[in-house]
Amino acid sequence: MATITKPALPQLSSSQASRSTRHTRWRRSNKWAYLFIAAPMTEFLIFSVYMIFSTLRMSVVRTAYSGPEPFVGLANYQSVLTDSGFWHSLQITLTYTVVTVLGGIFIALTVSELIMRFGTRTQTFFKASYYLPAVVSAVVVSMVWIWLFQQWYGLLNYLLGLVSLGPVPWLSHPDSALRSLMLMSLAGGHGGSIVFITAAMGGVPTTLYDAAKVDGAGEWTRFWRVTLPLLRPTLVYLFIMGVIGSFQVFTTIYLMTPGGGPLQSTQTIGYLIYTTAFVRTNFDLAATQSILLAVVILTFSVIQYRVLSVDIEY
Amino acid sequence: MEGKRRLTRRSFFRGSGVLAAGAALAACGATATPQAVQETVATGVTVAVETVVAVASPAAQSPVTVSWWTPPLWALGVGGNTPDAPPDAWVKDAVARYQESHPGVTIDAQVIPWGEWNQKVLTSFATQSWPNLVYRGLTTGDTTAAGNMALNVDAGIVAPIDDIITGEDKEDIGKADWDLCAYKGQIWSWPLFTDPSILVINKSIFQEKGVEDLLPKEPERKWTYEDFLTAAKAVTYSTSGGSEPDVYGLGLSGDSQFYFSMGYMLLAYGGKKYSKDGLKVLFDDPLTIEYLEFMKALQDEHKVMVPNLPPGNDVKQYFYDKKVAMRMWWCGIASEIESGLATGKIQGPFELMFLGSPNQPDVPYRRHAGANELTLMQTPDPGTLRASGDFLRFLTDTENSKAWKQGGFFPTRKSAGQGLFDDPNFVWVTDNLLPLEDCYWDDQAGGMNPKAANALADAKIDDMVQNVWQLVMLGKATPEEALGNAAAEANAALEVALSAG
Repeated sequence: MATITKPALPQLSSSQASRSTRHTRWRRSNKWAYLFIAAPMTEFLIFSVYMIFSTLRMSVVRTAYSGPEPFVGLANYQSVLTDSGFWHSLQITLTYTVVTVLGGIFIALTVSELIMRFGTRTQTFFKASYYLPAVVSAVVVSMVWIWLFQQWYGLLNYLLGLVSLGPVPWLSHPDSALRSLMLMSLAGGHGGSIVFITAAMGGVPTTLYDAAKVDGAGEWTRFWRVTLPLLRPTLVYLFIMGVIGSFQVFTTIYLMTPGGGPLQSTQTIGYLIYTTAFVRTNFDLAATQSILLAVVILTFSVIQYRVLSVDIEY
Repeated sequence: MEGKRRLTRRSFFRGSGVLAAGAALAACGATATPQAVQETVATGVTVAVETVVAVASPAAQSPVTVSWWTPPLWALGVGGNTPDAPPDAWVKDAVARYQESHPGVTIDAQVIPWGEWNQKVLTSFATQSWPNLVYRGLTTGDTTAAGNMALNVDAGIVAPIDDIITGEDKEDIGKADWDLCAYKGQIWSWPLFTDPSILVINKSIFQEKGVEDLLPKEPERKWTYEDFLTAAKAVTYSTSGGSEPDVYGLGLSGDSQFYFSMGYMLLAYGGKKYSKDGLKVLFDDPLTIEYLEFMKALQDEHKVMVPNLPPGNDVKQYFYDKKVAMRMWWCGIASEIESGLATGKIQGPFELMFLGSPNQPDVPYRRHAGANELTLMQTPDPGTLRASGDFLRFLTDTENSKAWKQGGFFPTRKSAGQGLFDDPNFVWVTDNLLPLEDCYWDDQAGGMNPKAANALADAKIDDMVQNVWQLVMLGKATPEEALGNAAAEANAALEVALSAG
């Protein structure tokens, strides 16, 4: 009988075997994933954690170009909180936020509901069309709107002129400047919200609509009783992100109404912080305003989350 | 054994936490840094005196790098005649010329766009990472530019340059310009160039209307507010023959008004902003109130001014489009118009004329200019300070000062300005406007009390002035109310600051 002998496997030395085992274990343990998050973690530590603590420190000292920076306790907070300009800016920011966030979500919801009535291809076309402005920088959008609002040559006043109205000093009068900026915000920039809402609408089980129909629910009732409750988590997210974004609005204000607009009528908190730091060189007060802005945003976010967020089970 | 080496999620986050705490401690502990810097700065002050003595030597002995920050001031390239020149063309050329004659010295020049300028410079001051040489212009401190100089000197971040200024330099540059750079008996900046405010006239509109003779006569081109109103009325009309004008005599914006209306025109009217010592705001001065009443009447009663204070860019466009015959601006507009005519963006004919502000008869005729300067910043290294001072002298010599013949600037060195211009408007500015006493700093001279300057900045004095201008012109308050309230608020802030000891 022929004897079949197995080919001899190469023998690993004990150290080689140990290294190989360690390597395999390491690869399988997913520990290498920490390497990938090390870079963003480092960035987070330096540009977020360090910056937050640095801003906190600046808010309790009197900053100086050189020399000691004396601890002043809560004096900067007292100074900011007793400054009528801060409250004026907060009021403008709140007005802007309420109008643009609520109005923006209402528009996005309405447009999404209309889009969802079409077939898949048409839906994609509309979603892409609405999202397109989101890829254009705020600077470009602002420059376009500056020309639309231009008092003598702008399209809006031209159109008003056709019906014997205007001209409206859109950006140069304190009564109209903020409204013009809010109008600009409401007229575009809903692409992201529409994508989120239509995606959520697509996830609503059709059986729920069928059941509602069987129960005699009309179109409005189905939207109000089925669609809207199931969109709630998405809407909460959009509300919170919208409020945070609106509280921080800066680019359009800076470009379209330099100096915070006529009679500071468009001076939002974000713009106030910029001017306090980089025009008036009060870095300590600017840091204090930043901390207070963070507190305001946090408060609003928590309230929104508590009020709007519910677990919905169907 | 191996278990000890395992990087668990917990240990990873624990490590992260330690790092975060470290970062936080570093942030909170940063108060120690300025003290250390203060020590080096203090050393620098001592060194500065050395610098001045040793600056006569052509170059530093050991290799040294001088950092120089400037905005894009030389817009027309090396020869001053290339409209599309890269913004750093002249700077690179100057650096190459200097380095060639000064082996061992490297000039690290940064041309920083205007949009980033203020933020970058002020951040460098705040973080003690300033360059060796820095341009100092009106943008580094709005109303309180003079005060900022005082504050910066008191903070010990700039170096005195008295000993690198020769008697010849003192003669060659006007006293008003040197005074602007003086504080506590020393000179802290070198006046580079001046860019006076002017009333820019589109003479072609006057010619088309046949009222050219209403403009001031050569060679002095002086006129009163009454002359000005007559001229403005003559060039305010409707091109379609309607009742509402679409061409206005005057266009002023709601922004930038401090330099271009509340500044020059107010002072030429006889109005006041601050007391001579800068310790009291005088907005409620009767002539200041009267000036604003006059401006309001230009808009509402005589209707010769574009209503509702349009944004600055709109006024510029109206002027280019011949919808506005006169606007307050600066001489840089000449190259803009020339470029616009060449590219077809502006339609001719478009003949420019430069004028000073109209004056009340009993108010001395003055210029409104100030100077833009180059400042030597403190550094603990004597070699760097010495080389920086030497490079500063190079940039400000007569030949290099001639490079200011671009963009509407005028060299502060008389030897550089003589015969430099051939355009009649620029010749008029050089011969008739620049030699006049400067009213720009008349009420806030370089020696302004730094506490007052700081208090005015904290009280947002620029916003106040701008608000007054807008409140009045947009019909939200009378001049008396707006100016009275602003003066009361500013003076209250000043009183608190000055009584603080």
